[in-house]
Amino acid sequence: MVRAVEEYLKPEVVRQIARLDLRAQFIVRGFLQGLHASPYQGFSVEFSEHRKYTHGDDPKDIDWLVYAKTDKHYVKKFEAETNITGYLVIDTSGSMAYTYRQQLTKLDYSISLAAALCWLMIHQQDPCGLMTFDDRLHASLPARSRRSQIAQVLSVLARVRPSGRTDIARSLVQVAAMLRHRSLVMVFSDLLADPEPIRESLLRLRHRGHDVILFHVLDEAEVRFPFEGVVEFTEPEGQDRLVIDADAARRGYVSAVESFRDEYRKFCFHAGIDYAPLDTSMQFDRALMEYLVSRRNRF
Amino acid sequence: MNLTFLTPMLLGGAALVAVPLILHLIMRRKPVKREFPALRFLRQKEIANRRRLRLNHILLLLLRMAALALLAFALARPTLRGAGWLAEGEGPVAAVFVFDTAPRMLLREANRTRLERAAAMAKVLFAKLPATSKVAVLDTSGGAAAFAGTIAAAAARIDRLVAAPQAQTLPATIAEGRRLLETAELPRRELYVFTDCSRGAWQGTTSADATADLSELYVDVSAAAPQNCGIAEIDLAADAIAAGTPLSLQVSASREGPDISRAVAVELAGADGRYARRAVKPVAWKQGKQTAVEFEIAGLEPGVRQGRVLIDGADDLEADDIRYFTVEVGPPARVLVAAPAPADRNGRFVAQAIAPAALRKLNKARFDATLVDVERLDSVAWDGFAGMVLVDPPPLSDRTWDSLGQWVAGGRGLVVWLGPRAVEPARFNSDSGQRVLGGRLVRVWRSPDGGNFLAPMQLDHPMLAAFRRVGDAVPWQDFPVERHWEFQPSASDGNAAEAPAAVVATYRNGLPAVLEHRVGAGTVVTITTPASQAASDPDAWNTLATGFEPWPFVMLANESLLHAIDTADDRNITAGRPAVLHVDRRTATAFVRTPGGDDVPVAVDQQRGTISVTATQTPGNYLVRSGGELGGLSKGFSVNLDAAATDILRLDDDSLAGILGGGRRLARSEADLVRDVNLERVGAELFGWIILLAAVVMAGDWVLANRFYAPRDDAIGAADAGPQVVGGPPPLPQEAGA
Repeated sequence: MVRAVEEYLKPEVVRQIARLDLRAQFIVRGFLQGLHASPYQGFSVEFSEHRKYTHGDDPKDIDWLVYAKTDKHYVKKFEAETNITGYLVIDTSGSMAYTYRQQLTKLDYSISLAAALCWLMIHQQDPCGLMTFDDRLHASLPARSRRSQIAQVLSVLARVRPSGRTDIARSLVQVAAMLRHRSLVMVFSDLLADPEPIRESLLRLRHRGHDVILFHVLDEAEVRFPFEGVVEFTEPEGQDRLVIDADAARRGYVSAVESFRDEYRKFCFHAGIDYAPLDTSMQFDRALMEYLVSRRNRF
Repeated sequence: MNLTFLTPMLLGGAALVAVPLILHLIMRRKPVKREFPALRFLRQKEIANRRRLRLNHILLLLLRMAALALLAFALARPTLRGAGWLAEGEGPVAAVFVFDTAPRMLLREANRTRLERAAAMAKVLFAKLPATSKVAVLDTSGGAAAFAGTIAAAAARIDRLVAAPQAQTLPATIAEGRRLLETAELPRRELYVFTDCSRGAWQGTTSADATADLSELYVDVSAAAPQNCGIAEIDLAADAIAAGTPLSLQVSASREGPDISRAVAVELAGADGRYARRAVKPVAWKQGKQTAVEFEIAGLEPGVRQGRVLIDGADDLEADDIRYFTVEVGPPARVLVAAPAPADRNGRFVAQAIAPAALRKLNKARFDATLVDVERLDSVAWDGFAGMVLVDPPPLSDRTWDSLGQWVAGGRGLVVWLGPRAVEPARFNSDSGQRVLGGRLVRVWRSPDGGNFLAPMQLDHPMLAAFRRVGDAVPWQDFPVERHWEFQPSASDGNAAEAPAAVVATYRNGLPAVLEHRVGAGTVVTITTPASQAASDPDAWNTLATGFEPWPFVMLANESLLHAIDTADDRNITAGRPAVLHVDRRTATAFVRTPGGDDVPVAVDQQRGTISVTATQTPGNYLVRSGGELGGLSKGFSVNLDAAATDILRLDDDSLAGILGGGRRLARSEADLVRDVNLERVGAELFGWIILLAAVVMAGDWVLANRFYAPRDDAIGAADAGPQVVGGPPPLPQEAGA
């Protein structure tokens, strides 16, 4: 089945993004500003507007020329012009096709999220590229800031067929090798693999100076384990089988998932990586909003 | 309780429990298949989960097996019953029907006596008796305990039951019934007791003995709301009074039912046998209360006087509306008290005990005591005396002993209080003396520490009958006996006429204290410690007469003398007991006129000079006559029902449960009776309960199996379409994005 490019820009999605853009402009811009502020202070800034000085504003921003003319204190507001390059790195392994409700797979969810971020970045004139992987790196779109880049990114994503086993660590190492400049690497994966190599690969990305955001996307069933009775589970990427009493196993499973996420959260905190644990039951615009707000608050 | 099965063959169905086992093993339901990527997290607790899964499987299997087993069990119709493990449902039984036929069973309610109601209830049971059963009917009026030849014969016996004074108590009759059932060879044995559950029926019973393999059913035939006024008993101040003194009698009146006012009257029989009313008193009868009504009848002429106390008006039970009494009006018995000089000092304790000065002034003393020095005993004419008391006698001459022996043998009484003056046993123990006393003195026993006192072990001797009313409350230990004679009864030579003295009571050290010796028609009572020493005497042997409130001594002195004289006729007895009356030996035959007006001849026991009337079943006044109207014998006695025979007060349920035992069954109505008998014979069917249990087990199986195999996947809000295919494409968009 070929999916339309527009699928990932459904009216409600765009509306949500637009709303995000209009109603939470300050937040989004602040977020982007925050992203750039630290490494690229003072470069490529463009005057935006004057505003009356209020208590708490940095005195260095006072426009003394205006003061000379009007005898009043005004501060200059600048609109940042980014030169950061973003890369959307999406896991397309077999496990990402899983959905419990038969609605949104983890991959769908990731793509929707990635499309929104891509739209935001292009809208901000930021170059945005795309990479997909399962057990190795597949499709790759170089980063562009043209408006047509959104359509290209979405058209690639629409053709993605989730399959095969996953090797996140190897793929991230390949990503690290491909990126020449410091970039913002946004990883979308369920991370259902041995965590140790993944962590090493993430650390490698960080060591190369890339800013990393890890979107840990799980299906709602993988978080809540809603099964009952005796169930024979099969792993989609392999043929591993397990027969259990789901009711009895629920508590242990949920705590295992929690500790798994906790370990990643701790690791990411120490490694300076943004960790966003998500599941498919969360509305992705709200999830994105919350993430952006939390990120802005950190800077 | 035993468990039996009406259709035991169906128990074989329990083998079907193997079916779920086999099905479980070969057709185990397959679990739902699901694809799930996060299997790694399930692996961590895999072992615990697998164990739980296996446990659930076993639980499910057991529930299914239990459901089948219970169904088979229920279809076999298990029943619970008390006896008859080996018997079949309608097999013959050995049944004993015990009826209380005391007069209180004549209590009427709904125009039917308790006895008639009991008979009607018994008929219900008879109708349910399997053929060839063995049946016995016992009642408290006595009679042989044996199984009747046929059920019809037993039923006829029930029709013939009449209320009569008890020959034996109800518990005794029940025990007899149990013994009879033990002899029965039939495996199922049933005992039915028909009782009014009254205090009178179960008086003195603490708890009935239980027999394991015996089915006992008590049938309560008590009246629901009896209305009765009753005279429990009448208490005569004395049944022999001195001429000129009034007769005092106290009537105990009790009421069952609402308060009422009725008169109680005393009537005396005239020479023609007709009763004339002498006193009437209105009485306010209170529910459940006992009222004492006192009468004093003066002007009784000498001779035997008979009368009755009766309640005016009718009530539910007539048997306790009337009581009879007999008194003998005449002079007190003359008694000679011989004591060492000075007799008025040494004999004063005994003389005051048997004839207190206060009572003598009122002419109410039982005895007319004459004090005499023992040294002058021979010089006194004894013929006018009915008895003699020797207080601390010195060794007497053979002639005196012989005279005493002859005098006593003529039907008199002699009481000897041995003391320190019998100083030389060798002299005292003359052959003549031993013939009178029935034994000999051995030595003086000393117990200076005060640890010895009179301690009668059993009070069943007639001489001690008065002490029975006091029971263990007699403070003998407060009257220590420091010294007493050891008295050795003569060796028995087999001659009944010269039997040795018999011990009536002992001291705490086990040596004889009171002995009785029959000499001819008379009686000699020997007490081995004196009653003559003053409290101030440092050598006093005891404090029997000088201790604080020495009422035991007064009773002992009176009762021993009364027993020795033995002139106390049975004037007021309870129904069924023999009446013994003393008559002149010259009388050959006496006639007893019963309350019914019949004259029955009674033979005189020439040796003892008594007549004994045993046919005393009917309450009323009996007259004994002999030798014509003038100068002949004229005595009499009254027969009354035992108080328990008319005590209709129903025991409360707790007391009844205590007496019958907690597990005993008590049927109150015919419906109860039929149900209890069915329960006992056929048993209580457990079918319903077991089917209910099976249903619960099946429900448990259903719940567990559903929870086990049919997961509800709408747990997080979405309907599940069944096992899913993972990896399928995401759903198509409804419309193209803008």
